[in-house]
Amino acid sequence: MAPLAEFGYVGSAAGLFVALGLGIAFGFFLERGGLGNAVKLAGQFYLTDLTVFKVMFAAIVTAMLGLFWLAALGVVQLPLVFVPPTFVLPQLAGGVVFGVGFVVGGLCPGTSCVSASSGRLDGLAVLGGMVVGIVAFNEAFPLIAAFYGATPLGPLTIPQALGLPHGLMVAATVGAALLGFLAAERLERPAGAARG
Amino acid sequence: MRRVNAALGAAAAALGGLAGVLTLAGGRVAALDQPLPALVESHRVSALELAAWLRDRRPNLVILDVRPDSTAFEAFHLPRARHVPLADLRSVPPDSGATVVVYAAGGDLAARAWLVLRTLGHDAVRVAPDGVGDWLAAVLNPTLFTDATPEARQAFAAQAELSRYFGGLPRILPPGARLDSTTLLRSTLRRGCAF
Amino acid sequence: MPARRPAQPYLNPYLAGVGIGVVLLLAFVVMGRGLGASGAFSTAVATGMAVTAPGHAAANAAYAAYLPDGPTSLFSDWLFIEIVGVTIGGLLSALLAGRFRVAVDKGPRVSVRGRIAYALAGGALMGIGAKLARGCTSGQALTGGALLSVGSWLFILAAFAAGYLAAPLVRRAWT
Repeated sequence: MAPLAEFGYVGSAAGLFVALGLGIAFGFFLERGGLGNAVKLAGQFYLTDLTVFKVMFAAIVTAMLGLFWLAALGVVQLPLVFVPPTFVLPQLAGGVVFGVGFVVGGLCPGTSCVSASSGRLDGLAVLGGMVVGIVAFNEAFPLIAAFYGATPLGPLTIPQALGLPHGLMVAATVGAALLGFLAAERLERPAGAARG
Repeated sequence: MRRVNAALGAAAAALGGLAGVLTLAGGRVAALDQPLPALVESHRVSALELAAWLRDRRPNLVILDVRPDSTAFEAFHLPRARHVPLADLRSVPPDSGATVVVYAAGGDLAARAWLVLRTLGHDAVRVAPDGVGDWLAAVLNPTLFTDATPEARQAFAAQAELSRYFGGLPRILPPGARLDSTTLLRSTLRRGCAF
Repeated sequence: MPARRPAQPYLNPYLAGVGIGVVLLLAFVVMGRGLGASGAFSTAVATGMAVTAPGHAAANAAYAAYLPDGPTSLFSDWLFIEIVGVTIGGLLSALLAGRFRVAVDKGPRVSVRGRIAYALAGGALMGIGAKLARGCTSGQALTGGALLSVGSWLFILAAFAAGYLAAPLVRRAWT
């Protein structure tokens, strides 16, 4: 009966150990894949090194398929899994700002931790910049609070929004991702093994 | 590396394709991610209904307060409610003859408790998502506005009687008046033979 | 100092992705929630502000939202402990693969100073963007992406589009 925490198998203390363990595994695989290296990450945006795309969508597909099958087998109660609420405009705007920051800085919040713990000073700098950005946002919050809370749709999935069954969207996403992987392999070939 | 990639791709394609096929075949798999509010909609119970059940001594009624905080429970809880936080619901043995009512003070807590109990084998589970607020308003502080229709007045009479049974304070107010939180009657449990 | 192990090649990205996907799946199955990163930074920043200027932190809705039980809540915050884990995991992998090195990763044409400046600026922009979007690549793209959340997919599309559009402007930092 899962999620285990919802059925009382994992208390708050145990949950923190789980957090630590999952975090260690997450950071381990990020570094294994080279995502602790800002130059490799930035290569994504110059189409020379599509590692970010491959890792990210392989992860999304894996988790999505796993969740679907566990739910289909009755092991996981899908409605008990927390879906982050949708705020259309702030998330679009935030995405744009974040994307620019990503190509400028070369690392995202999680990978900047990996970069820093691999000894990279630029990783530390990204971390420092993020703290500044968060403080700036919080200080300006009274001015932007209205935009921040605009266009709320609550927890909403694409299949729910389109009125389609969940499993169909899963199949479609897997198909799209696989096509994307094939394209990525083609795109990267001219650049050869230059990076990485 | 290419072999590994090909194998991964084939596995993903197979699992994804099968997911699509199974979904098209219909049945349980086709409705996996129904949002929680939709799932519990037909199982909701209002505070008034619950109050009537309690007054009429409906048999095998189990009322569970699933809020995490025992201080909140001690400060106010519904009559005959047991405090069983969401994480402890496994300790409630399923009883096929019982009607279980779960309530909280808003949010999706009660709805999640409903799904947990149903998964654990409880058949008849009803939900009052904001049982606390609903009870305080409809049972303890029902109000009738002076511009109400005769039908509304009649319904209010029954509501007022139920309210008084639980120590509430029915009020008749001019239209547009609002009760502020200080005048709201909060205390609830009647001492004495009713409970 | 022990002889440095030669740097090993990176793992097949698809395998790394599957590994991360399994971790994410475990988070869903065990905790009923996904992974995250920027949220941990929000909590840490709010805690820092609560310790240095408690009145200000309590009065500002953005800080206060991350301080449910006061400044002591940092080490009982799930995301914060997870990010500590991410840092440890990265260190472990780097050491085992001979990739730990105090250095600055940068493109060939930019100076160390320039790279650090870009890093600070990029970090600040991501801090703002992640606050607006309620998450970053871990919390929104990975977690929300796997859950097919509408807002998360909007975030993914917007972030990648903006990244590609802005890339020519910072070419000298990377190529």
